[in-house]
Amino acid sequence: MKEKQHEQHVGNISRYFRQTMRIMRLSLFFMVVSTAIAFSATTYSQSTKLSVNLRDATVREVIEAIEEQSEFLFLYQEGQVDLNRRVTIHAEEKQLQEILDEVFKGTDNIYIVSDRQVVIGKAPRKALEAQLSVLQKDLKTVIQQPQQKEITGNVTDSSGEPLPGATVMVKGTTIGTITDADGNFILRIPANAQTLQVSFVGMKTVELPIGNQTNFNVVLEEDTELLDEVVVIAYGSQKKVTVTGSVSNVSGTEILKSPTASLGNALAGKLPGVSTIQYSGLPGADDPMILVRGVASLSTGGSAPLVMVDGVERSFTQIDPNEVADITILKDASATAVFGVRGANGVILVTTKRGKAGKPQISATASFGVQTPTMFLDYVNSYEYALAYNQAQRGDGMAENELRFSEEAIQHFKDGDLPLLYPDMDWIDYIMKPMAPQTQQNVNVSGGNDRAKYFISVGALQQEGLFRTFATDPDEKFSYNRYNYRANLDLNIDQINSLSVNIGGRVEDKTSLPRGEQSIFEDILFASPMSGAGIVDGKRIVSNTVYVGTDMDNDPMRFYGSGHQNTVNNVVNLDLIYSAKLNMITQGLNFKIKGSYNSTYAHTKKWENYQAYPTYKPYMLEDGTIVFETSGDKWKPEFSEVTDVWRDWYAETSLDYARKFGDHDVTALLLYNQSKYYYPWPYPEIPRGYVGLVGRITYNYLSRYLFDFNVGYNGSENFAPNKRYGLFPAASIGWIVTEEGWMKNQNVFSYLKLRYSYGIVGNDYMGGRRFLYLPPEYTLHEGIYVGYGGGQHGYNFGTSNTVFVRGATEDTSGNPDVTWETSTKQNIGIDLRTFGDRLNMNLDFFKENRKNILINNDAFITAPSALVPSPINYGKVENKGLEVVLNWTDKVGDFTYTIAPNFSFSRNKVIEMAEIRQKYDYLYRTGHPVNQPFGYEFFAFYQKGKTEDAYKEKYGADMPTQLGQANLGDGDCIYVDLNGDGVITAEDQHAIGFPDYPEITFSLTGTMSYKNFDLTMLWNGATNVGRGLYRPYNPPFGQLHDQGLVRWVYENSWTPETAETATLPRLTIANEINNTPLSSVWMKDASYLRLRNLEIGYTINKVPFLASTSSMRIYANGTNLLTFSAFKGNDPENVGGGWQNTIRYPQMKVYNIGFRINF
Amino acid sequence: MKMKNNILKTAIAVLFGTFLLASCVDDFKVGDAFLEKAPGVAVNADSIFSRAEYARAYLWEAYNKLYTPHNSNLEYYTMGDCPVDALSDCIQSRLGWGDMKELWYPGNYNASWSSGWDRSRMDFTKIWAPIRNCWNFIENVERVPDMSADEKSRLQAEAKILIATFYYSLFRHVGGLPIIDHAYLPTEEYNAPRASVEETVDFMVKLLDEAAATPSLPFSIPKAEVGQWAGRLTKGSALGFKAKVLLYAASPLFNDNEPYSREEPQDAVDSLQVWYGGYKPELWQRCLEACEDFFSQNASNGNPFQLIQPNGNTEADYMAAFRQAYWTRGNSEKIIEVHTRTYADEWGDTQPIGVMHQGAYCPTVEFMEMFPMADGKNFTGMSVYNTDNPNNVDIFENRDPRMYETLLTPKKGRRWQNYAQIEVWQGGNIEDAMGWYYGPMMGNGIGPYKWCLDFWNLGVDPVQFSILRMGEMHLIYAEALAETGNLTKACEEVDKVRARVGLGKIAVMNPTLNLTTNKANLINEILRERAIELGFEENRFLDMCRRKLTDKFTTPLHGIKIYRKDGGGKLQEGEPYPTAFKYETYVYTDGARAWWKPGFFTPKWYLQALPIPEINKGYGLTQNPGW
Repeated sequence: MKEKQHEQHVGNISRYFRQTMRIMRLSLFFMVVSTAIAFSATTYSQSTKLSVNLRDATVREVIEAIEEQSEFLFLYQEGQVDLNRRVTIHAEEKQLQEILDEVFKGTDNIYIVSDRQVVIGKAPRKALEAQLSVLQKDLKTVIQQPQQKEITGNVTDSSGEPLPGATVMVKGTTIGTITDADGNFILRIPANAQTLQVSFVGMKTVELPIGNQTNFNVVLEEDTELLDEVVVIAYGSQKKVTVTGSVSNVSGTEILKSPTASLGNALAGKLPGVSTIQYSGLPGADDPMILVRGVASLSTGGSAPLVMVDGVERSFTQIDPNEVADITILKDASATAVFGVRGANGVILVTTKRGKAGKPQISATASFGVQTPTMFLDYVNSYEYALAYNQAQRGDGMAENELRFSEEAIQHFKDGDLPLLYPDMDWIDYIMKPMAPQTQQNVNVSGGNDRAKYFISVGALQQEGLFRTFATDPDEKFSYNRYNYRANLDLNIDQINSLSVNIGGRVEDKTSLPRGEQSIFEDILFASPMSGAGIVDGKRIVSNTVYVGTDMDNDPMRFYGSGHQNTVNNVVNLDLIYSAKLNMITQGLNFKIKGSYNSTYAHTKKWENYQAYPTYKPYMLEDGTIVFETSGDKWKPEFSEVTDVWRDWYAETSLDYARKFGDHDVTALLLYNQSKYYYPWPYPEIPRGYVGLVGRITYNYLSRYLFDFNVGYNGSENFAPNKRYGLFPAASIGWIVTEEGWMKNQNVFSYLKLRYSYGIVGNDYMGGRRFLYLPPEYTLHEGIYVGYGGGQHGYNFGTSNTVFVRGATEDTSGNPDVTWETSTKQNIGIDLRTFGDRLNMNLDFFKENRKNILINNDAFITAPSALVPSPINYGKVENKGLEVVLNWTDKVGDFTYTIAPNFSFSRNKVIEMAEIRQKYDYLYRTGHPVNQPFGYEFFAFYQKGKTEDAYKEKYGADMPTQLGQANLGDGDCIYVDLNGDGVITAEDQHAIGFPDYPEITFSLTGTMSYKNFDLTMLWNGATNVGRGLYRPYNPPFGQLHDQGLVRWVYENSWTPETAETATLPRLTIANEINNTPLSSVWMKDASYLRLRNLEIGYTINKVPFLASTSSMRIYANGTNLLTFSAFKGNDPENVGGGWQNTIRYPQMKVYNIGFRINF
Repeated sequence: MKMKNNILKTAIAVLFGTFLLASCVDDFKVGDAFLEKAPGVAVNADSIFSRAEYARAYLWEAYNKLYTPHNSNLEYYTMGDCPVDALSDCIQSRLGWGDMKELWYPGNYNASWSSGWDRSRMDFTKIWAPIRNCWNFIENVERVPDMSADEKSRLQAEAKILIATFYYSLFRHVGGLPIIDHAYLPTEEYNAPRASVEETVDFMVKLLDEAAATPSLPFSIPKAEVGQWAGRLTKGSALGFKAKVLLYAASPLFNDNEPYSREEPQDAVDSLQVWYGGYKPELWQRCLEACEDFFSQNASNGNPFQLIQPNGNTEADYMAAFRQAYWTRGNSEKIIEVHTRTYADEWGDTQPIGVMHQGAYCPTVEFMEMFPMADGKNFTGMSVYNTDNPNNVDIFENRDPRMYETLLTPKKGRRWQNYAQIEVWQGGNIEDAMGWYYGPMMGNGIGPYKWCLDFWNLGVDPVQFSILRMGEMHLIYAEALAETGNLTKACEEVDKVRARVGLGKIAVMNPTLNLTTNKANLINEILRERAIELGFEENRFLDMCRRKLTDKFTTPLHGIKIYRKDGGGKLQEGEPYPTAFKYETYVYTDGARAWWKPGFFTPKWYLQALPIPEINKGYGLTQNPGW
């Protein structure tokens, strides 16, 4: 506790308490208890004997010496005491008063000793006494008055833990007391006392009507809004009030409200400036793409943020959410500069929970949920399909007798009378169950004393997939089980040394089909409804094209009987942290060393059946019986296994310093770290390494003017030795306006802070490539046996060699000059609280200029030189935007509510990229956002005669020759001839729509609690986001014209009847070339609004039938419960864009119920 | 002091403990030393040229990229898997996904399709990497310590021939090209704009001359080495290929009094990048000399290159000889062959076999008509089309044996897979035999046979394509002779090729054509002979372009339906082969070509467009006329 009080050399007495609220409840407890003792018998100053022998020392040094050996605490007013005056004191075993008399002899300073507090001031003595009374009032100590009534009570925190040192007062009076070590209090109050006010540092103050009640059990809740809230920052933590960078965080409690398996998805909408895009919902592989403040490099891959768990680079998405205390996002240069080379895209810091001193607290949770797709593709049935296909062929001018589907087939599709010969399958419904269960359990224990604290947690998650298991192999499915464990231990070895150990890990058990998610979904989504009859009596029935039409027999059941694979992934993370207080060197200096080791071991066992079950093709004999032609055979599955290992370690050592000198508050940090990753692609034999040196200085004056300076000095293996190191400085300033004297008299703002940061951060990442500086590299390829198909390398000389001679290729081209990509970031922020602290608002404006972006120089290489592209520093991107966070919290009687909207906007623009000269300005990608889609400008759906005139009228030129002019028919897309050459070519494409990451995200959190009920909901949306539609929407029947037809396409395609309302071109095969390319027709707005989370809970504080429990909570929650989107064809995030980005496992909606018991 | 000691002890213990985890397996380093490890095992240019084995491997990689229209490692087989001859009058593609039906037949091809999408015939960007590979080899092989000087010069000569073949494969589709005569360094300024046709041709010829003048380059692969080394380029390859290059150069497309196209832009015309600037008879003379040089050197080396000759004089013997000539590896027929696969496989290969199922190689009636009768008279059976065929002419009887090897037509006694008699007519057993691919492959009534055979008898014969073989060599010689006035000798050269399959002398059997005196007729006959000798070997479209055969592009093509006159379908047990057929020909409506519409086809189609992005890079690439 001596420790803590050193920071109290603050002159301004009125600010005394705020400064002491160091949130360490434990130290506070001791302090307050000792204060209480002081009032019962003020003997400390008389009983304490001090020895001070100082020659020519300053008054300050004398005070420090006294504080050093006693519990005395000096308080003085700024400017009233000359601390630099030199005195000589020789005192052995003297009382305080004797020493002080000598020190202040001959000055106009006087002092008052009140137990351990020593107040120094100037005469007259009255003024000083007045100050003391203010101090005592602040302390909320007892000034006894005549009483008529005695009340008793007990104060605990929300977990049932007694709160010693809480202040209990009668509102509007100076009558009060503080609670004892067990949280109990006794107080005599006037009979007419109305309201009892109970407060404690870091807790929300509670007011209770007194009435006739004489015993009060008061539960105080934590007040996270208080000024003393601490936020996690790079390599440490900082008081939120003094933070000058742009940082936002979400607590573990909030994260638990989203019943998602991947933590990444639980972040959606909870953090301003963070956008998540979930492309797949596959169990165990549903991590979203996460972007902090959008995209600022030339690719979305190059814009991925750095993720750290407990200060070490680790993946966080599969950690049990019950283990997480806090997730913090660092956004601007000031916050991320210390990460140097890695910090350019923002940093996600995940902190796990740690033990608190107190009796063991056990928390057990279990929940059960049901997952069901949010929204997925819907396909037309066989009858509609056949009609639509024939209609398309008729439109192409095909004769009736050449149409793909016969009249007879169409009738059977309609009647459904011969389902084996004329199937009508809704494959998604057939193969996927409407819902699948998901369960989660966790037990954790935490507690400790002042020597040792612990947090131990064990959790499990079981997530079933939606696949039906048709085969006899019950494991032929997708499922995911995860078992998480963690033990975080903190040991105070003695006053100086402490040690922490974190052991965290998980075992993931993933079952999947060997053919993989993408290929299975392609099969399902591209199959036509008549392509097979599924599994009938254990037989895989395929279609006979004689009945269902040419080529219409590609059923999606290839996975049936193809086996399964099981991957067990074992992840272990270990941290060992030693720290020491180096007060003997100088006050406030700490030393820390940390070592971390991470290992991942994945074992995959695969049972793959290349030739699964035989297929049965139906024929109808003349007598009407159906016989089957069998082809193929059932083989035994082949077993194979593979293990993958990765490991990495991280070490850091640091010195940090924090001290107050009068009104000057200084901290400093110097840290060295290095990390090494083993078996990284593409040189598994050469570990990847990083080294970094980190420096930080923060300074504030009177907690009013804040200044931070951060610097990272980093080295990366990707650059040549002379280009290897980069220095990344950032500075920020802050001004807490409400601390100014002239702001004291206003009551609009209870808190107002302005901040600005400027700095440079770097990036060395380039698509996973390593050693970018190395000279051209060649590969020698082994001579291989090649059956058929082309040998990729080498050559097959001779007449009957089955082996190719070896070949060698030039693969890479290095650039010795390549170096950091740098990003200059600026951030202006305003934090304020107003309306009596009910409205909290944060506003951030940012601007980022990325330059020297690491790209390949492809665009500069002339084809005939055939140079292998090499990495260069080229390209500039500007990204700017703003974030607004509002929080309104109020209480009406027992009803507490919070409404917290937030809004983020970020827009990037390519200022310079490697782009070849274009003939027309609108063809340049430069000047547009990264990944801007380009396509044709749609004019109208063609109507012979009319469109030509309309075009001429609008553009004053003849309608241009279209891409598919030869087969142009009514309902085809007509594009605008941008360059006016009369022909639609690639040079008529321009920027259309938005990229597939959103520019704007917004959310609204609402929480309400009434007595024991509480409700939380989170609405989250995104806009200025687009998707260019290709497969499976476009071309409508697929590339080979035998694939399923999406109902949304079917319903919106042009027909003569819907010519006025159609939004998509006619269904055609002959003129696909005209209608398929990306144009404003296929560019869709993928904006959405989701009810991301909803949780309703009920908490019972003392469970009557379970004496040992302190509280129990039951709740129901859900994720993605409602989705609204302009795009109606599918879930707006799962739309799929481009040829690579095909549709995958659907997004999940989860309904979940659970309970939590605290012991 | 005591405390300090404790700190030190604990610090050491923790440090030790932490790094024990890692350091028991890894070195422990701090600071820059920590990053120093770069890949120690990387192979760079120095290591490639430090051993003969590695240096050779580097050259073999260039062989790997040798031009072939079939399954290739350079992805030449673009156009969505369609053969380029599907633009000629020999093949009409029915391939569902192929670019013929989507892009080319409807006339949708334009300059924007010339890159990015593999939809044009020759992607301009593809040949340069193997050319760089060759130059890199030529420039560095001297450094190899464990290789004889002879081998070095031989391999350099092979590399030069390779460069010439890469150049030719693009030159014929677009005209003049940038001259790349060394391997560029990453730091070097690029300075090779598009060269003229003359410069490009001279560059190829120079490379071939240099190769041919290399003493260590053998004239042919010695018999004893063929098993191991067939496919290596030789002096014979260089001499023969020179003639092939000069034939294209001397052809009217480039060598005429008028440029082939007067459409805008004319930059390439003005800079002589798409023609010679006038008719130069000496070009034919050069081609002739190249042929004579080849044949005389061949003779002085003991004629290692010879036409494969039949073992007897039956139709089966002729067919077998012809198959060996186009297919089998390492025999005397082959001057330059491509070995990118070990054997042909029905389902493993895309081109040509895999897409033959799908209708990429449907032969036209026009192609079928080019095959003469077995005696060497030209085919005249067109008169019975769409008639009742009163004289019961079987137009597929007694034809050039090469037709039966190239096309799947009705033929008595023709086996097909396990059918002793395959019935190629409407309702015949061909439909059962082929199953689902009857529709796409036989949709025109007759099907392809060369390369795919009946899909079952492919054996393990490994070669799939020859860039130059003796059959073509004689026909090049014939054309050069005809153009330089020696019509009689030209006929003799043509007859050598015909004799292999038992056909009579061309001038004798077709007296009305006056082939020994009428040069135009003779050129036409040589082109027809080339079309059938080199059918499905990527020849016809190029001949149509270099000879500017506009009418062949604009005349609608025909399919045929063959019916048994007695109305029957499959032959019943014991039923004899039918003797009377009716032939119904029809103009293709499915995949009708825009070129057949009046005014649509212009000579710009003879050369393809160059990619817009490359032109926009501004290094001196011009666009071809009309694009």
